[in-house]
Amino acid sequence: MAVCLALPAAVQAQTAPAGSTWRAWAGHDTFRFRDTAKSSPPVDASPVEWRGAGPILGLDWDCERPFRLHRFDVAFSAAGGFVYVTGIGAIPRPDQESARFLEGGYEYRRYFARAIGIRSLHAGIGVRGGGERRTFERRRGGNELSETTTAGSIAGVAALRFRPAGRVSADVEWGNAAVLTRGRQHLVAGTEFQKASWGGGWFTELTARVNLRVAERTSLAVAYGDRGEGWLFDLRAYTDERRRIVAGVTYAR
Amino acid sequence: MRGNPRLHLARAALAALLAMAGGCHTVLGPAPLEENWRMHPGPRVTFFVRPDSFAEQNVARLSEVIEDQYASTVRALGLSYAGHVSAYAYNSGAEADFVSDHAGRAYPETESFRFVAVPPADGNLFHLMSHEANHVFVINGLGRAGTYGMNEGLASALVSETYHRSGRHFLFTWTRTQRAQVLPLARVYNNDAWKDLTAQAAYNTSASFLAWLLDTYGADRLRQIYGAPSREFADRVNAVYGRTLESLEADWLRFCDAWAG
Repeated sequence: MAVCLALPAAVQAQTAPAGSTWRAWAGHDTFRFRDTAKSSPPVDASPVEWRGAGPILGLDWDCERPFRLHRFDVAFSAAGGFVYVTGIGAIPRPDQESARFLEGGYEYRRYFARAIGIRSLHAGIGVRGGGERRTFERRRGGNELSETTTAGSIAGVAALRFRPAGRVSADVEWGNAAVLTRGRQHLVAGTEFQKASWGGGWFTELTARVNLRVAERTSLAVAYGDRGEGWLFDLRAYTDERRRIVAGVTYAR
Repeated sequence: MRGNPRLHLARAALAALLAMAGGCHTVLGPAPLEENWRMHPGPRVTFFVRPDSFAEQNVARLSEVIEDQYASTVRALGLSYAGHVSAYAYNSGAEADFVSDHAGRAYPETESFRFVAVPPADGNLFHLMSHEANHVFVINGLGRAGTYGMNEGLASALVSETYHRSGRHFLFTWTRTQRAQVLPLARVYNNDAWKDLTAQAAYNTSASFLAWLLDTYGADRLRQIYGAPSREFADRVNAVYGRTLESLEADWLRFCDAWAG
């Protein structure tokens, strides 16, 4: 962490005023879940995948100087239409099954002043703190299982920013996070069973975004994101992947 | 190497980013789902087997055994679970990334399990398959066990003997004849000690004790101690059975000593 924060201190002095932007976005999020019997590589994951998809909505606020960025973000997604993917087919799951995610975070990032290879292409590194609450509703063999997980994460982020003079710009961000979490399972199977436990995990996230300026203060943005996660609790573990394609509008104040 | 150190640093960061982007999850995450299967649906368990494999040649027998196991486990514990389960049969341990050809894994959250199916189609194979399937049935019916000992022991204790004698007959006989390997129950139901125990001895000790406990006192009481964590296990046993764990352990060992099969 100390290395991450110390390296950008070498960049050139920054005197330009800060500019803030709001970005509202929406899109499609796919959630894929597999339980794991062994979490260290090679991961031993189930031969069946629990997969669903649904809408995702988000709001970002960026406060940006030429080589410095503060970002607050919040997002909500709700996946439904679940199936078991078996490798050679898909088995529909009950309509009541769902996965909902509410997440938010703050990131501080700094870019190297000198362009790399191409003019206007800059590398940056940052640190991000995040929080998330996720709820799974399952129906297995007539029994109801609710699972609620609250998690906090700290991530290191590497980024590339391409901001040429024209209307089009692009960003790529790659983050790796450690996660501390508290999970609670509530099973109704004739009688009720409840189990809560602390857990830990990690995630790797890659996001690519293209921005098209359509007016002096307004841009359109299209982004693709892929996050792979591993979660470990007392006597259970799982891995999941979330892929999202979103489009949004950015307004610069 | 000449040039601006900051420029080199930035280029190194760019190269590292490009090299690693998307790669970490590939390395640390699971392999993609496999597609080389043939599906053989059953009433409550669907088998996925390799084309023309030993498992495919014996899928009717495997299906017969596992459907009996399903009914037996639900009846023995009074479970309300009635889900459809997916069973994946591999040709070897190496193919499944297992350490041996007598291995399997269960995935209760996705109602599936996988196991190695090698000849002969006898009690050993049926026991392995039933053990893994029982994890799926039990966890979806009772939730997660409180200890590793309960989790693994109950999956073997519930193995039906309709088609073989590798359930109770094996467990009680093993306890009588292999007394030196039988482990103290206080260690078997202690998660901190579990990883230091000899795996097969720990599995058999717990399974033998739980099979006896289930036969002697019934499913209702066993369900009450099922979720007890290590630190509460002995007290929960005392509260539910009105006897100490040591006292029950002595009775169980006496029963096994007198076991004639």
